[in-house]
Amino acid sequence: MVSTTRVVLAGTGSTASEHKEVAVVAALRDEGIEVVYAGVRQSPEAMVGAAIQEDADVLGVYLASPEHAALVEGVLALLSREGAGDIAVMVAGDLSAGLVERLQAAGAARVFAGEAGADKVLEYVKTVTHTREDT
Amino acid sequence: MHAIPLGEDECRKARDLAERARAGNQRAIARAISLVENGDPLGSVIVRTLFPFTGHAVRVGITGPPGVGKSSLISQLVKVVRDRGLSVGLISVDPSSPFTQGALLGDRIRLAEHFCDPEVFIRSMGTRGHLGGLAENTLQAALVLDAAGKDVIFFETVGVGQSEIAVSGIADTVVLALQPGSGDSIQALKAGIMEIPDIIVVNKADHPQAEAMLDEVTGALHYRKACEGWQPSVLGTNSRTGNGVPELWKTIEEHVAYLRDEGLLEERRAKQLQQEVLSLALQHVQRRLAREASGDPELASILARVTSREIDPLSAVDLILGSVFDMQLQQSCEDEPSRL
Repeated sequence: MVSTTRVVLAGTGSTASEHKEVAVVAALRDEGIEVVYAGVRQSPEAMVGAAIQEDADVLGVYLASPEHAALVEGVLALLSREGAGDIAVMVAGDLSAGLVERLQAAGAARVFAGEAGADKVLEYVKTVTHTREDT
Repeated sequence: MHAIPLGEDECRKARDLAERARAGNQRAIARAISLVENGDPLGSVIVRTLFPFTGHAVRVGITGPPGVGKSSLISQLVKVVRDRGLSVGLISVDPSSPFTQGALLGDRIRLAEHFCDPEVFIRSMGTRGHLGGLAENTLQAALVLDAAGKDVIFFETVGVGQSEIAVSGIADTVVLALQPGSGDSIQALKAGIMEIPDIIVVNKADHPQAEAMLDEVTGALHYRKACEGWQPSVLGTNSRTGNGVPELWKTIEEHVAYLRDEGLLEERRAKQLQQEVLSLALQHVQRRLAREASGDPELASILARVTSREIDPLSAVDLILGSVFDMQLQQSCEDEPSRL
């Protein structure tokens, strides 16, 4: 019986920020984690759908702009509406202290302000222990 | 060999999860697939509960070398299938790292336009060391989607070479996707992978060499005997524009109808299930052996006797099989003194 941590990564911006996401994907893969890359320009519905169908332990969202913070709130609200509030949401982006606080208050499990290095993301993902209600 | 019974509470939860998956609950389907994928004992309870409700879905495998556009082609196919009002399950397999077991599962990105369609369930799987182009428990994961009422299930294999033909063990119809300008590879592909497709598509059909490639593929098929009386169809598609994709779906439907009319569909599925049963049995035997072998002093001493050339490898196998499974290879000769 092999159980592997599964992470879904998605971004809100254009392809311009994609290289940062790819660095994180590679770092996670090299630690034995299965990373589903869902791509950029994703809506909250698409990100939540991917996290649920892929049975993710962690959903990582890259915010291309602080103006996209509301999308994360949308993701968190949708997850809990779908009974999937146990999926940890991590957020990275160039965010002010106020925005970090706002997203944490909304239920984000981890918010990386400024440049989130691949090592920091990896460190966090390794600490996630996922307990589910059903099985 | 006795199985340890699972707790009543755990079993009830697993059966309940199976029922919710069957009712189409996305979370439950996803969870059920993970348990099956992980080889969790609860996964067996789930498959056992769901198996009587399977057999409805049409299963289509898409295979081909890396970079030919399999994911994009599937995305276009899904569009056609959804236009016909059919629901879709997709299992997309990517290779896991043989060193870390980690994986980048990146096929989903090509299917972005279907993310918000509740009738399209997309699941990515890593091979986790399994060979053949699919993940070990792909067929069982497909049973979950089948029981959940999906009308069509697509399998996308890893980018394959000559010998990854596992998809032929789980699909009703196998589509091999190739791309123009790779004519030389056809020569190399004659054996193995070229023997399994029911349909061959030359993708990227707007490429200047597409026509030549179609000719080469058709030519290469002369070397192949018609399988089950069906001569593989050869089509051009363009997964960027969607050109040729409705024709591809029509051909898939024709192939399935042909198998059905000739009574071959049941035959093919029966063979596949038998194969699955045997490979699952093998999987369990293998695990048992690995479990018993690790740290067992008796086995360690048998292996030491091989190293010191006191006994040969096959005699050692006989000893191990005798001790773990109570069976023998029966390979000794009457006039030979037993060296065991």
